[in-house]
Amino acid sequence: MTALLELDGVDYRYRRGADLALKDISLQVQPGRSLGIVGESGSGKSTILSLLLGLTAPTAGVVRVQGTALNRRDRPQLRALRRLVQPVFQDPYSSLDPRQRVDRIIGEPLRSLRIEPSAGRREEAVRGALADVGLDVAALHRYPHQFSGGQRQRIAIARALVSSPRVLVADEPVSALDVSTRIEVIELLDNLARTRDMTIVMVSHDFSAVAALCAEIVVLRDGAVVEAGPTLEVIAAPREDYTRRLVEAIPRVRR
Amino acid sequence: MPEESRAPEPLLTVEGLTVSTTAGTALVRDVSFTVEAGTHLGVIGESGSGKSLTATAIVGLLGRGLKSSGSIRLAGHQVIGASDRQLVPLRGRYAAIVFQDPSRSLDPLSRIGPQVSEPLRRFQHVTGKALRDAVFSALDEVVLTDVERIVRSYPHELSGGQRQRIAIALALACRPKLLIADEPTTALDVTVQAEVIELLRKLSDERGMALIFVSHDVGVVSRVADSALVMQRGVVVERGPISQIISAPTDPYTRGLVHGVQRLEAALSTGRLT
Repeated sequence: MTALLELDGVDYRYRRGADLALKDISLQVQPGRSLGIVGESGSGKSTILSLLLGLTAPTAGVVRVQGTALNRRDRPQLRALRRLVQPVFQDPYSSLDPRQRVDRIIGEPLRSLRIEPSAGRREEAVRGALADVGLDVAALHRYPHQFSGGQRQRIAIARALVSSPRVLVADEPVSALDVSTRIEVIELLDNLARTRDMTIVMVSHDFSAVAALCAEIVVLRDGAVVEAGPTLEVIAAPREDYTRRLVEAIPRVRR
Repeated sequence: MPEESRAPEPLLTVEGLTVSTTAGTALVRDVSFTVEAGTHLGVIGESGSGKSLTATAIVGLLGRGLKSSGSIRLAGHQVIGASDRQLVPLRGRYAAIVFQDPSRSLDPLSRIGPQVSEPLRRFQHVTGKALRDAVFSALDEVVLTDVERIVRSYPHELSGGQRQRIAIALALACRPKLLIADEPTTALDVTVQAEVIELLRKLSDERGMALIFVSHDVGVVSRVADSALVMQRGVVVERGPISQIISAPTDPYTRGLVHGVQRLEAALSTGRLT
């Protein structure tokens, strides 16, 4: 099966950076096999997401979108990538424009990607996305500050859904949330992935969230892949020392 | 008549603590608890529970626009209503606080060496070579390696974990009887978090120092505390030994919280939030 997204031998160096931020990364996002990327700060997790979103180009190696090498100068291809892949950012307090009403925020991808020229159908899609994340239509005419953290994360997810992407790329989507809200958002994402046939690529330091959402896991350290495989197998029996340390450090409840 | 032995006063007695905005909104309501010398109390709560305000009130460091009422007796001294001049000698000697963001304890414009030596000079009255030795041993104690380089560094040149260890070293410099740790590991990577928790346990055991550990994370609290309070929207909804709070919570909110944590943990082996 052709991977939805693929990194093939990718290096990445920040402008004026001395060291490689990513070293020879290869990974594939297969349809229906959600992928969790775990690692500590500075491991390069978020840089991988930027590459998958086409926001930045690798220093070496290839990013492939449905089998075709991504060329960021190819505007139609970049637009196709934007339709295929949508981001959900970490902090629902800062990722939503506070001056825009929720209907504008959620509908933004439809306008900027010129997906839906008809205002009526745009509104329909916005209402559909809002219903899918479990928010009432009354939310459409309000502003982000009028919502709780969990509700804002739902709005951010609705915005990502509205263009019907195949892949949702999420940077720590639940780490800023309280336990009960975290569970709700994980359940929501799980449910959406099934019903909308979406694959999730998620960066997180939270193994529980990754285990609940992602069949596959990649463990990163200092810009390199330490270990990769089916999530539950990697957590139950890590092959690498570093992975074992990460798994042992999960603050489980002491009984 | 049997001889009556009066129990000594606990290290910390909080009675009817209420923290309000000057506009009159109560953010913490009627909170009472005691901390005996050498014991470890967890304060569990999610955002908006008032857990951090409770912790900060103990050392009289509530921000402008907040006022506390009730009673906080720390080693026999009343904290509520006390002036800063009365509080300064209590802070450090009896109680010290470590925040989630270690930058709150560190001066960004000054090197680590002088920052650590300041409280040591003031409280342990050491100077010269002895002071230098004291700085090194204070940093050694929080398991910092490469101390030679660290004393010459500015806070921004260090990692989050290193900064938090230094904040702990600063808090411990005056040998407090009580260390208040307000979400001290929330901003840290998991492996560093585990190390810092281990460090706090070890230091408090070795010194017989009491610990108040504030966190939203039941798992983290269960690794540090003997007993705990659970706070929700400014009030204590449950209290008891931590094992009991986890195995047999009685309050519905606590039950939901513990159940949620258990569901997240179960996902680690089942891949589902059962």
